[in-house]
Parts: sequence; structure tokens; C-alpha cells
Amino acid sequence: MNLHNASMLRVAVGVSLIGLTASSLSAQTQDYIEGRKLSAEEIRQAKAEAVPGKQRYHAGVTFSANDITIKDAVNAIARQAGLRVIFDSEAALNRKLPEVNIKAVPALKAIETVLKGSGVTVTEAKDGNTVLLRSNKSEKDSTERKREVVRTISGKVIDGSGRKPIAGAVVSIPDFSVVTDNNGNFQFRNISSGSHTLVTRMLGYTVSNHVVRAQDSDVKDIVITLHFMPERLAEVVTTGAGERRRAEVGNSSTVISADSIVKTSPILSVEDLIKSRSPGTQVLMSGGTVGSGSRIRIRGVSGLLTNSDPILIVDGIRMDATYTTKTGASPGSSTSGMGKNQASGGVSATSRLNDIDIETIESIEILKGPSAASLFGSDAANGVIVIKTKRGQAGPARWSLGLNKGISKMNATFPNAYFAWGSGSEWSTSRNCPLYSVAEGICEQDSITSYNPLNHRVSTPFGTGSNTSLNAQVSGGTSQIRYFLGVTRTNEVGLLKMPDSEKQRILPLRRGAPLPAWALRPNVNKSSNLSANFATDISSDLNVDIDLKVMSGYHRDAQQSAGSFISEAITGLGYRDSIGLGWGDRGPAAYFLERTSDAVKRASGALNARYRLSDKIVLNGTGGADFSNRNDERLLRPEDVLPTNSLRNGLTKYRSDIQTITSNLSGVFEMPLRYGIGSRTTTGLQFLRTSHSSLRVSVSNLAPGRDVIDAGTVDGTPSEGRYDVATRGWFVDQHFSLRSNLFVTAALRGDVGSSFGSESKAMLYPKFNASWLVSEESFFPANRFLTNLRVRTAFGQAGIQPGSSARFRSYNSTNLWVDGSQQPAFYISSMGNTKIIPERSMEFEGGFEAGILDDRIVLDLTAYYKRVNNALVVKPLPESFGMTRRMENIGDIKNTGTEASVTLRPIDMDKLTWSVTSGYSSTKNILLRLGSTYTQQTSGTERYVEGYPLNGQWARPLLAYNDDNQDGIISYDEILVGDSAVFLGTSLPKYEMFMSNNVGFWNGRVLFSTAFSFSHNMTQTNSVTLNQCVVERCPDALLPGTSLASQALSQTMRNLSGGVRNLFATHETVSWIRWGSASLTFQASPEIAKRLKSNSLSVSLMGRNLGMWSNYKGADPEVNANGNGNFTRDTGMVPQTRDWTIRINLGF
Amino acid sequence: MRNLNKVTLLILLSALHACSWDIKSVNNPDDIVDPRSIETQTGVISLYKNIVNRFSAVFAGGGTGAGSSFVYATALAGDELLTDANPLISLRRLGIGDGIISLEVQAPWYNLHATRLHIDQTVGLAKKFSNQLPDDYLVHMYAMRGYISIFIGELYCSGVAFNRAIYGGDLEFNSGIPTQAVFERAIADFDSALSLNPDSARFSNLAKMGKARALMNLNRYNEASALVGDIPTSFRFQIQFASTFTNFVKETYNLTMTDRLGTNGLDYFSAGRLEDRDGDGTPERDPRMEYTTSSAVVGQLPVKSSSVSDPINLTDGLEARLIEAEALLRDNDTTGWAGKLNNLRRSGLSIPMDTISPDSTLSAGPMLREDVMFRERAFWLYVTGRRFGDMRRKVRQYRRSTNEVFPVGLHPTLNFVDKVFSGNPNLAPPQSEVDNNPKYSGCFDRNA
Repeated sequence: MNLHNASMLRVAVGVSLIGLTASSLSAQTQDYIEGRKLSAEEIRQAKAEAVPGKQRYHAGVTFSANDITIKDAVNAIARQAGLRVIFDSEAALNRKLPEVNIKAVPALKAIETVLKGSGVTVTEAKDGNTVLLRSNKSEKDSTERKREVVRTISGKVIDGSGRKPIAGAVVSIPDFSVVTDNNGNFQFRNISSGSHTLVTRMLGYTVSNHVVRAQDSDVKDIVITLHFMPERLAEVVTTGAGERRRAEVGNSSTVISADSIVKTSPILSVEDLIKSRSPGTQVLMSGGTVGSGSRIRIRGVSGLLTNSDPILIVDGIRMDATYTTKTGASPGSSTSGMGKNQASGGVSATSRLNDIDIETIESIEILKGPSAASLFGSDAANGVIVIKTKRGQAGPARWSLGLNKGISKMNATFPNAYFAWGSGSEWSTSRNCPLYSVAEGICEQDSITSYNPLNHRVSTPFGTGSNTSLNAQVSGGTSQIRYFLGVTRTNEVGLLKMPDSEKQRILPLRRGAPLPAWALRPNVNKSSNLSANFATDISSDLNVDIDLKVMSGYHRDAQQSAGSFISEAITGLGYRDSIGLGWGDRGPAAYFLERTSDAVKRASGALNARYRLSDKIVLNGTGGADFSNRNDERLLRPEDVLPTNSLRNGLTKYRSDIQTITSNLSGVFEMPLRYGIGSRTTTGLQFLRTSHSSLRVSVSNLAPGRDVIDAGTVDGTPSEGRYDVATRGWFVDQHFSLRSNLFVTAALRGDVGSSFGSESKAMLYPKFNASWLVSEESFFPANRFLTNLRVRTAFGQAGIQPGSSARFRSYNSTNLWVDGSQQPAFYISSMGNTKIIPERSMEFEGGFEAGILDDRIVLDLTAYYKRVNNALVVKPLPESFGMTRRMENIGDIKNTGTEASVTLRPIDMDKLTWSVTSGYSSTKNILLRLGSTYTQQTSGTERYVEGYPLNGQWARPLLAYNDDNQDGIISYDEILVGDSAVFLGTSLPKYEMFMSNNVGFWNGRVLFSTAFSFSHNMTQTNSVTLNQCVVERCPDALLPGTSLASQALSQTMRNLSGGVRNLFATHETVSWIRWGSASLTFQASPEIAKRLKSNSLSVSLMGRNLGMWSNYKGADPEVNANGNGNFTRDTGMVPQTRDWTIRINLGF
Repeated sequence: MRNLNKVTLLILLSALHACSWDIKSVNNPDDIVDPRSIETQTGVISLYKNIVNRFSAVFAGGGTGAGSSFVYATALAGDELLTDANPLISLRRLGIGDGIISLEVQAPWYNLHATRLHIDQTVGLAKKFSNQLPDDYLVHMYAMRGYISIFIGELYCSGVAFNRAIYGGDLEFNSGIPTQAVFERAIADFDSALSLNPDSARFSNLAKMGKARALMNLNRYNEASALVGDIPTSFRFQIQFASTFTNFVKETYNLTMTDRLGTNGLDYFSAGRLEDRDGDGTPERDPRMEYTTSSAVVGQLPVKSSSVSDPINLTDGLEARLIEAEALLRDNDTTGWAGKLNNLRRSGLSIPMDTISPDSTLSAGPMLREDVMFRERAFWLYVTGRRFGDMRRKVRQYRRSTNEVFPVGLHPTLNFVDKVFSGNPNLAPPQSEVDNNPKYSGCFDRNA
């Protein structure tokens, strides 16, 4: 308050004015509300001395509460805005409101909203800091009693951008709130006649104030349009210290409103929800078959030995999101899976992230790195995915049903296998005659054929897949107890099928044994989910939420990848034989007859409690556990071994249990300081423990018809593994706000963990961030062009823990030949590193959000610098230590990038709306310091080299070629290949963009949405091409007239003994545009809905993966497998399919 | 006051809760053994068993490091055995350790130090439980560590580093030390063993013989001789090896006995051939070099090492007598020297051997007597890991040139027919030592 200008105070005086001198105001520090009558002299002084100050009345406030007195509500609003409130009658403010939901409303309006119907009016003082409340109850009551007639007000809430109905929006008039149903409908009954302001709020949208006059009749069919809140400043976002308004937080994060997306977009998994919706978040797909999992990278890859996966938190508790590269492999391991003696070839990966039922998700938040995730501690450096599931709302039971029915088809084509039929003087039969053999005079080409059975109806194993999903949800309750219950059943059948021609081929070989069902449709994915939560207000001070989730799933997939049926097809004979085949040595039956599956059972529970100890202190506690049990199986029965395959029958079973326990306790102490400064201190404790146990047994020589372990002979040694990792942490978070425009937060997290070395100290992770609402400042010119502007910056550190055993000297047990007999003995297997600590990631980011032209254009730009110090590296040791390597914290990695999102609303009319949302990100990754040469070579052509990106692609280059003998053919001795590998490119796209368009017609009755994505500059190994050229089935090695350059590249891939075969030619730096989805939604009129005895009905037709344009020679540049940390190789996994789905939503 | 009580209750609950979050109560990985469970008397015994087995392998083959044991590495680096197969042949082809790229060739270096690491780590624990363990455990471990130093000193160049992994977890990087210091390290270990007054003569004799061998390498013959005087000729400390040995010899590397390898090599094979050497019409051979052949073997195998169950003597009473003989020779007591050798030649061999006359046979002078001395050692101790060290001693302590002692000229095997024997009389540590030890820069010199 500016006391020097006290004389300029102007106070609007009402009928019964209450005033306060500026000096006395400054003395009030304990409570915002003054409840005493002032003397005439004090009023006079207030007039004379109050000063104009900053306009806090317009400061945006967000406040939600149930069963709260008007006084407490006003108090809370005033606290947020830094306002002082003076009133004359406390009695008028003691009435309770059943529910208050205020989001991003100017403080003065917020107070007005709370006071509606109370008979108390609010007046602003010109000092900008004080509001005066006065009671005119008696006058108002008498007036309203005269007018009181009961009316009904009903209508619909729709999305302004796409005209989609908005379910779950809260529409309020004084004393009463209702929640919209699945079709966005709401209704107030028994409302007094007169004018009412309907205040409508929904997460992610601006608040709407809609005035209706229900004077002489009921009011129906009101359409309230909510606009996406571009600056999203009032959104509640998650931080390690709890939920905060976005405006207060200095780091960037993405909130995905999953509920509305799932209903109108072709979404099959959590990964689908994340993909192309958050700049800087990359979803790396492992395969196109149903149930395939993905790896998620946020702001690039940042570890050599540790994985770069973000952690997952669902409804407050940590949950397992383990990504398994192949069925049967150990969690997080890249080992080669089960059944080593059986058919080779990869199986698509699975991800436990997709166990979460997408139908019950309300929102997904992505915290992108240490600057946002510091307080999540020693696991959070790669970011945090926070999922919140739907909650119950007070009111009668609201039912909704959703039915999805879809099909999937293959829309990719595969390269033909070529065969140059030739004759040679020393050949007795016609054989493949490549160009170089022609040049060497070994043979002459007679004819060339080409064929790929994957591309032909008679022989293709790609049929029509299907997906069916049914979900039912019910929610409701009272203001004291609210509930939500959702059940979802999903059944996906992948498009893989046994071709009829293949059945013809193998049935005679099976000696009458019928084909098992799994071989006919080898790829299925089924799941059943139940999700429930209950929120109870045990008292006005104590709220408890209980969440329960149960899931059961089964996933079966066929052998794919290089070395499987896809490889067979592209390296086949190049022609179609009598029964329509054209495979190589084996047909798809060899792979489909092997049953590879994983079954999951999962349960999680969480209890969140909030206890208001006093007006200034709130305590929060969260406890929960997540249990998952996975049973993997790989079975090849004796009767399914084809005589031509020379495979060995066998069965491998792998069982793993993962338990994660979360326990959080925190307290928030909030109080105003002087000069408009607010303070909030949060401190907390966290305990996290993850336990793994697994058992793997393999048998072979199975008895026919048996698929149990005891029906075979144990292969190798059964293995059992068990380990725990526990972390204990604490944090302090101090937040200051100044005039509700400037927010500064400083915090510190400390961790100790069971995986830290015994000599290591507690890890400390500091955090600092600031957010400034520049456009709220008085000096900011009011203009239509730049409506909103916020600048922000954040700094933070977080960690990634080492493995559970890296810290200590470990021993293995064995039986040894000592003194003429076998005796048990121990030997040192690892010396461990007692000083090992988590990798420390430091991140600095800055950016701004701007609303332009009344927020028709909203721009969000962020640049970040992330550096990983102490990256864990296997350091080679001089062997005179008696050990060759040890894990040490010696690596440094740097990630930099920019992220931008733009939201446009070019057309915003009742009959037509059009909105565009787009995102862009660039990522640059460099390994600054390796401190070691041991791990330079990782897998295949991936390498870790200082000065280059992690998982970069390296190969010996083709330096030159020359047709020395002028015969038009490049032979092996006419190429020059470099002696050492050179860097070819990064394994993640450097640049990515996405864009979605939403068009609404006729007040949202018809919605059209479509989405595109663009990825640029990713280098990968095309193993499909490699496999084809190695066996000389690629056109470049066979076709006359092939360019010399192409011939030269094909020569580098020849599999010559002692030759220079390398993977240079298989590397492609690719870009692609994908038409990801399109959907058309029809919202039925209420009359039609009623015919189905429902309140609402909508039908959506959705298509996915509708087109792809790329310079990539393979089938799908986005589907990769293998790789150390990233997916870096197109190993021939089944590409993404084109899906068409129809969805019906019914609300009751 | 009400709030104060709440806060107090909360603090108490939090403290209680925090105390229960014991991160150290976690289960360690199940597929490895928790170090805490090793730090017991039974744990020490199990570690000791492993060391015994590991030492056996690193010395003689069998189990871990079969193809890279000290016995076979030295046999190939010297003149005892020959193979036409990779990779041990590269000991010669690559100049005996220069620019080593083969892991198999690097293995002796690693295996020797890995065994030393295990002993280092276990000795500390064994001391902790010394009152619950027989002294022989410690004696044996000290002795084995002493032998490890001898092996390193005899096989590798001057200037090798002995880095140390401290039990708590720190790593101690060290500079190289000369060969002399390596043998002094060995002596220190043998002294430690002997200072414990071993329970059994077997381990006492083992330590004495080891110390004597180190002393011989330090040119301290009389001390060595005095130390082994009370060790009976019948003493044997044998290392038993597993079936891997025969696989290794017969199939994997196809080893065979040599004969005058590279001009300077001894006549091992010829000496074992049955022929009438003295023209008396009766064929005879040196019984110490008796060999056998079979369809599985391209060349010849010494009879004493042709069976799975045949042990190799790490040390024995024969070596004690040979040490005494050499000490006498150094004192120019040729009669005593010849007597020692002849006593051995008459000591129960299956085929009687001619005796050595100190006067008539050796009239050519001291150098010939020295040659006889080394030949006697080579034949008595054939393929037991002593010969390569002797060849180096002969250069270092008897002032012979390398080209006079080690094989020279073209390598005789088919695969390396155009390769010349390296002139290096020892191995260099792998390049990874230089790359990864900031205090180490390689051999001081490559002389013997």
C-alpha cells in the first residue's frame, strides 16, 4: 500500500458504509476479514487516507470447496488475491454453500459469485486492496419474496472449438451447482424466477458467465460455449509438492484432457493418448500388432546404462510402467527372450503403461524433466507421467455406456523378393544369377521374377483385425460422499492370420493333427478393467479419497522381425508356386504355431487424505500399493513342429511379480505476509519401495499335447531373481506470491536409497522457478493484440538411480573341484562401487505464453538446457585389479531443445467453429564425456561416442566406387569402404511437429477432427533391406541397368567371408508425415436420445493411420525394435495398421 | 492449544512413520550372494575353496582359464610346447605380448591378478576369524599369493603394476615396479606364511619352496639353498586339474612336445625317443622325457601329463635338490653339484640314467656346466611352469644373450611358417593396463 498517496483514497460508500483507515488496515495481519463497525471518524479517515494501489480485484483466483461457509469462501478468495475484506454483519456470511467451484475468475467477481443470494453486496475500495461487504438482506429478501416463482433452467455446455459437448462441467448459480452429463446437458429445477448468472467451469476452459432471465417461464435449450483456455493459467497442474495453479508454476508441462479425446478419437492405449499431444514427448513404437508397447522419451534420451523411461504416477501413487523388449525377457532387460531353441524372430514389446484403462482417465500430465520433477527425487530425471482418473460428482447417479467396434487392415506394401534366373556352364540347374556373377562370367541371366507373398491376397498373413470395447461408468453421490465406478472390457484381434495357402501346405505335414486356434489368429490382446473411487468428507476438515483398480489382461503375438515370416517373404524365391506361396525356407506357420503370450493380473489401491489442521495448515497423506503379476509363456508343441523346420519343441515360462509401495506425507502452511506477499510452505516425506521377483523355467522334449513344465526335460538352469529398491526422501518447498502476479518457488529434495553406495551421502536436488503474469501488471497496456503474457523460468535437478546391486561387492556361489571333490564355494562377481550415486540431471528452462487477439491465437514457447552429470558408465579397469570393469558416475550428457505449441481459433461462431492445435519440438543430444572406451560399441551400429548423440548410428562408409572394367556392373573389388565407422545420424527424430484440426457444425451437433504428425531427420537401420541384399534378393544386386551407385551399396552388404559387409547401406535418414487420425461425430438430438431411453447419444466414426508419406524405403519408419535404450532398427516388425472404429456413447 | 496438540501428534506420527521406512531392510538381488552373509567363518571357508580352485586353474589349467594357465603360457613362450593353433601361438607371432589383441593371450594376466584380488579380499576376512580357522588357511593363501607374484615376475616384463581394490570399495591405482620388487613382494608373502608357524609340513614346505624360488630369481642362491635343506626329496605339492586339461592339450590347441625349437630349444622329444644313443646295441631314452602318441594327438605328449588324473607339481623336493645343486655350482663346488644331480638321477627312475661326471664330462668349462644345470632342471621340471623363468634367469643372472637362450629364426609351424620368433624374452601386460591406469605407462624394459 502506498501511504504517500493516502489522500487519494476514494471509497464507494453504500447505504451502511464500513470503512477502515489505511493505517489500521496495515495492522491487520491475522485475518483478512474485519468484522466490526467503524466509527464515523474511521470512515472519514478511510476516505481521506486510502490510496490507489494495484488492482487486485482482477487477479485470477481458483477455489473449490464443498460444504463451506460464505465467510470461509470469501476468506480463501481474498487470501489468494491478497485482498482485505471489511464487512458489517458476520451473521449473513455464516450460511453454508454446498459447493463452490471457481476457476480463474477475477477476485471481485469470485466474491460476488460466492455472495450471490446472501443479501450481501460487495464494493471495491479504490486502494485496490480492500473490498467492502455490506448487508442489504432485509431489503432484498422482501423484494424477492414478492417475486418468488419456481422455474426450471436447462441447456447444454459445448466446446467452443469443436462444438463437442462437454461432460463433467460444473454449472453454478448461487446456492446450487449441477454437473453436465455425457452429452453436456444440465438442468436446474425449482429455481426462483428472475435473472440468474450461470457460472460454468471446466478444467482447461475459460469460465463462462451466462445471464438468463427466468422471469415468466422456464428457460430451456441454453447453449453455453466454453472456450479452451489457451494460456491455461488457471489449470491445476501437478508438482512434487502438490497441485498448483499453472500460473504459479515456472516450468512447462502438458495436460492432456483424456476424457474428451477418448470419446471422439481412435484411442486404443495410453500411448495413443500421449503420442503427438505433447511437444518434446516422443513415443517410439515397437510394432503394429495389437498389444504392442512403446518406449516414451521426454526431451530425448539421457542415459547410457540407466533407462530413459519416465516414471508413472496414477492417482498419487507410483505404478509400474515397465517396458519389456520381448516377451519373456527380464523387466528392463534387453535379453533375447525365451525359447532360444525355437523359431527365431522378435516379438513385439509390451508396456505396463497400457494396463491403465483409458476410459477412466480424466487427464494425463507430462512433467518434462528435472525442472518440473525435482521433488519427485531420484527416479524422476526422465520426466513424470501423472495420470488422474475420473472422480465422482455430487448429484444423482449418472450412467454412461460406450461401445467401440472397429476393424484394422494392412495398408503397407512390402518390397518384392527378386530372383534372377540364370544358367552357368558349371551349373546343372537354373540358379540365382546376380549381376556380379554375370560380370565374373559365372552365369548369364535368363529371366527375372519378383514376388512377395505378403502383398497378395492368396498368400498374405494379413487379414482383417477387429477390436471391440465396451465400457460402463456410473458416478454420483452427495456432497459428503461421491463415487465413481467404471468397467471396461476390450477384445482386440490382430490382423495376422494363417493364410489358406499355408494351411494347405502344412495340413498334410501334420498327420491329421488339427491346427490350434492360436496359429490361426496368433495376435490377440484382451483386457478387463475395473476402476472405482470414493471421495468422502468425513468432516469439514477431513477429506478422504479411496481408489481401487483391478486389471486382467492377456496378450498373444506372433514371431515377427528379421528372421521371421516377414524376412521369409522378402527373401523368398521371387515367384508364386502352385499353391500361392513364395516364402523362403519356412512359411508363416513355422512362426504362428509357436504360442507366445503374456498374461497380466494387476491390482492397485490408493488412499489420499487431506486434513485441515487450521486455517493455515493443511496436511496431506497418500498411501498406496501397486501389484502386478505377469506370466509369460512360449510354447512349441511337438505336434506343431513341422518336419521341414528342424525346430526343437519346448516350453518356457516366466513369471514375475512387481510390487510398488508409495507412502507420502506432507503439510502445507500458508499465510499472508505484508505488502501483498503471500507465503506457502510445503514440506513432506516420501517412502517408495519396489520389489521384483521372477522365476524362469524352460523345458524341451515335451510330451505331445502337454503344455506344462513337468511334461518336458528341463533345459539349462531354472533361474530365480528377486530384488528390492527402496528410497526415502523429504522435501521443503517455499512459495511466494506477490500481488498474485509474480510467483517464486524455491525447493529442495533430499533422498537416500538402498541402491546408493554405502559411502554416498544423501542426494540433494534443488529447485527454483518463477512465473510472472506480465499482462496483469498495471503498466501493461490494455490491447486486443496481446491479451495475455506470462514469462516463466525454472531450474531443477533430479536423479536416476543405479541398479540395485551396483553398490556392493557381490559374490556368486558355485561348486568347484577342490582337493579331488566338488565343493561349494563363493567367488567375487563384482567389486561394486561403494560411492555410486544416482545420475544427477540438471535442467534449466525458460519460456513464455502469450494470448493474441483475444486469445484466438495462443503461443507457448519453451527452450530448455538439460545436462546429466555423473552419468553411469561402465568404466574399464586395468586388469591388474583382478576385475575388468566397474560402474562409475563419470559420464556427462547434454540435451537441448525448443518446444512450441500454437492454438488457433480462426472461426468461432455458433454454426461453425474451427480450431487448430499444433506443436513443435527440436531435440539435440550430445554425449559430452564418456570417461571410458568400454561402452563405445553398444548393439549393432549404435554407439556411444563423445561429442555425438547417444545411440548414434555408425558404420563404415562406402567411400568410392568405380566401374574399372567398364562392364556396367559394380563388383566387390570395385568399391572402396572406409576402415573406420563414421557417424550417420541420430536414432531419434531431431524435429517433430503435430497438428490437429477440430471443426464443429451446428452448435456442435457434428464434429470433425483430424490429426497429422511430422517427424524429421531420424536415422535407422533398415534390416529388411539388409536381409534381402545379403541373400541377393534385392533388385539392386540383380536388375540390369541398376545405377552404379545402387549396385555399389548392395555390394557393401554382401555376406562374404572376410569381406567388408557392413550396415552402411542399410542406414536411412528419414522423414515422414502421417495422417494420424480423422473422426466424425454426430450428436443426436434429445428427442432421438430419448427414444433410446437415454439422456444423450453420440456416434463417432473414427479412422486411424490414414496415410503416410515418407522417403523411407521400408514399410513403416515409426515401427522399430531392438536397440540399446532406444528403438533404432527396423527389424521387420509388422507396420502400423489402418483402423476404422465406430463408437457409440450413451448417457443416462 | 488444540492445534498444538495436533501438531505434536502429527510430528510423533511422522517420526514413527519415517523410522519404519528402513531402506536398508530391502532384499538384495537374489542371484548374487549378499556380502554380509560372506563375512562369517563359513563364508571365509567357501571363499578359500574358490581361491584354491582358481589358483589351480591359473597355474595348471582346468576350470576357469584352462587355455591360458601359467604352465601352458610359459611352455609356449619358452621352448617346451608347440602348437599350430590360435591364439596361444600369437604369444610368439605378436612378439610375445606386444600389441596383444587376443583375449586368450590377455587371460593369464587377468587370471593371475583376479586370483590375487580374491586372496587380498579373503585374507582380511580370514584374519577376522583367525581363531576359528586352522592356520593353514592363511598360510596357504599367503603362499598362493606369493606364487602369483612369482608367476607375474617370471612371465612379464620389468615394470608391472599391482593395483589394489581395497575391501571397503576404494580403488588404489599404482605405478609399475621392477621385476626385482615383484619377487620381493613374493618373499614378503612367503615370510608372512612362515611366520604363522604352519600346522602342517606340507604348507610350511610350500612356503619355503616358494620363497626359495623367489630368492633364486634374485640371485640369492645360498639363501635359497639353506631354506630348502630340510625339505625331503619326496615332497610334492600338487595341483590337480580337471578334464579341461586333456581337451585343451589334445583337441583345442593340439599341443605337442618340441625338439630343439628355434635352434636354442632343448631336445625334449629326442631325449624321450627310444634309441641306442651310446652304441651298445641297447636302445635307451631319458625316462624324464618319456612321451606318448595317439590318434587324437598330432605330435607327442609327455607321459606324465597325458591323463586327466595326472597332477602337476607346483613345487616338490626335486626342485629343492636342484636349488641346492645350483647353489653349489655357483660356489664352484662342481663335485657337490654333480653329486646332487646324480643322486636325483639314481633316485628311483624307471630307467637308470647315466651319471654326470663333474670333471670329464664338463671339461669344457663352467658354461657347459651351467647348460647342464638348466637342462637338468628343464627335464626334471618339464611343463611345470619353471622353464620360462629359468630361461630368463639364464639371461639375467648367467649373462647369456637372449638369442642364445630363446628360440630364434623362422617359426616351424604350418600356420606361421613365415613368421619369425620374437626376440622378446617376456610378455608385456595388455594395452588396457596402459589405457586404464593413469599411473602406468608400460614396461620399464623388455630385457630378461
